[in-house]
Amino acid sequence: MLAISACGREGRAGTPRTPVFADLNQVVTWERTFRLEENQSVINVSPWVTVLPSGEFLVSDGKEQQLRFYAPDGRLRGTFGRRGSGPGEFQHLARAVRLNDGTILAADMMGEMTRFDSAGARVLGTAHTSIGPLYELLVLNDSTVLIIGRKSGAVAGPLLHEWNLKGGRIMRSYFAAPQGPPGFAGSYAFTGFANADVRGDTVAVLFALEDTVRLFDRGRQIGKVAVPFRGFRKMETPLEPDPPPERFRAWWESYSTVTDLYWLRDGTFLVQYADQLRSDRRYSLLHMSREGTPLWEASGSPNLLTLAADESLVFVKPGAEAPNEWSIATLTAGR
Amino acid sequence: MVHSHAHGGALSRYAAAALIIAACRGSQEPLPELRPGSVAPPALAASSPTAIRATWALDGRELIRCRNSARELRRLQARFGDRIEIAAVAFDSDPASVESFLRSERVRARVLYLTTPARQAARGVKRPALYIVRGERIAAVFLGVPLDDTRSIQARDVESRVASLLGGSGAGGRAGIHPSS
Repeated sequence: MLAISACGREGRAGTPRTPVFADLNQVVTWERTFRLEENQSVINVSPWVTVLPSGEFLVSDGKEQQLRFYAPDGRLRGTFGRRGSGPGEFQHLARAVRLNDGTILAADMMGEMTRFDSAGARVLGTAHTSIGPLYELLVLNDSTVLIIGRKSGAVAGPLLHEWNLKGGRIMRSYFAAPQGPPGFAGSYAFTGFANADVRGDTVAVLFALEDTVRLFDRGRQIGKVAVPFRGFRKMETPLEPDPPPERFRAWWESYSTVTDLYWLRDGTFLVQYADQLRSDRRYSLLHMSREGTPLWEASGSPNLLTLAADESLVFVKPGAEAPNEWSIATLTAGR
Repeated sequence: MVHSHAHGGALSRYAAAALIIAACRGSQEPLPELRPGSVAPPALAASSPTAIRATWALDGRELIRCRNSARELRRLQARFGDRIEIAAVAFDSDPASVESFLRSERVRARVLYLTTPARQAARGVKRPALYIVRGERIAAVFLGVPLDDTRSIQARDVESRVASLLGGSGAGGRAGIHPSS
């Protein structure tokens, strides 16, 4: 990740060159599509993706408790991790990232960390963070990763935690979990993950149910940017206690959730959000300037899985039945 | 009376006829517990006397639980492919929700939604549970939610049981009723 300070960057405000409501095909160029190799023991159900410096993909799949290396063309290079409770095994694999030394750090949703060698062949160590549920991992620098999650499941309290790799402990926690309007705390906790990205020393974070990107520098909030959502639906009613399944589903489908935040090199932000329809998700993608000016917003976009270091976008292939077909695209508008 | 929402084909004539007959016989009397060797209610029966079917009996709450049987169905499907039938019987959830859930879990299953008369015939079916049936006879019952590989009921038992029924590798899975905890 390039070290560009957020504070010194000027975004591209001004008149958008594309309609604010855009067809994704108007704002990206599709480069290539490929299918991920699968077999009897490898099925991509819920892939979370990191693009490695080699161009390979590191996939962590929390439904299968498995990590995978894929070549840029989708050939399966190897797998590691499995269901279980021993070293290198997971109950609820949450995320995996490549650390700056090339090793792989994988996090269980309940805060267990496992460090693998760069090939995933050997477990180098494990640690417990006391963060659970754990939602997200980001590499801050050689010695620190940013963990997004809740300390011991607390409804309130900070969501961002800087974890020192060498000492195996949390050095700093910040960004108090939003509680929502009165009566919404439980609902906010239930749905309450956050998304973050990093530029230099600045962390941008966006809570899943909110429309404000907050900027932090070493734990101190230094700014905020309103997200100019057009199609985002805020949660308007809290979850009732122990609802029957149909009532739960109706509530679950009544609001949007931010699923991803990406901070691009030019200072602009990409925000992906989703609306639930039964177990399917309808994604939308918004591009905005550093100041919050809308550049475009595309509804019904395919799931944006990740951004590569060159800022090419890795999507689930539009119209694919399963997340084992991917499309690579580049942004052509709003830049 | 029974709506079939099949992925890859309509409900077989064999099973559909059985379901209709069973529905017409519906009564309020409790049915005996379904055990290995029992005649399966139509909702669980395989499409032919020699076919093997794995059926997930569920209600709507299963679709919002962290742990459920989707992974076991996915593994069975990956390992045995067309050699077994995969089905889900939804007792109080709309079929579109079950289908959406299974699609998101990458499980290709025939979804049966039981209306009231057919549900009467299936009232001995516990849920959540996985029923392994050969033809119309129950071969194994896994009650509750199959758990991880470190707990008493191991997901691989389900695979072993199916493998033994198919006469392939992995025979030796425990027969009988397997409570999940």
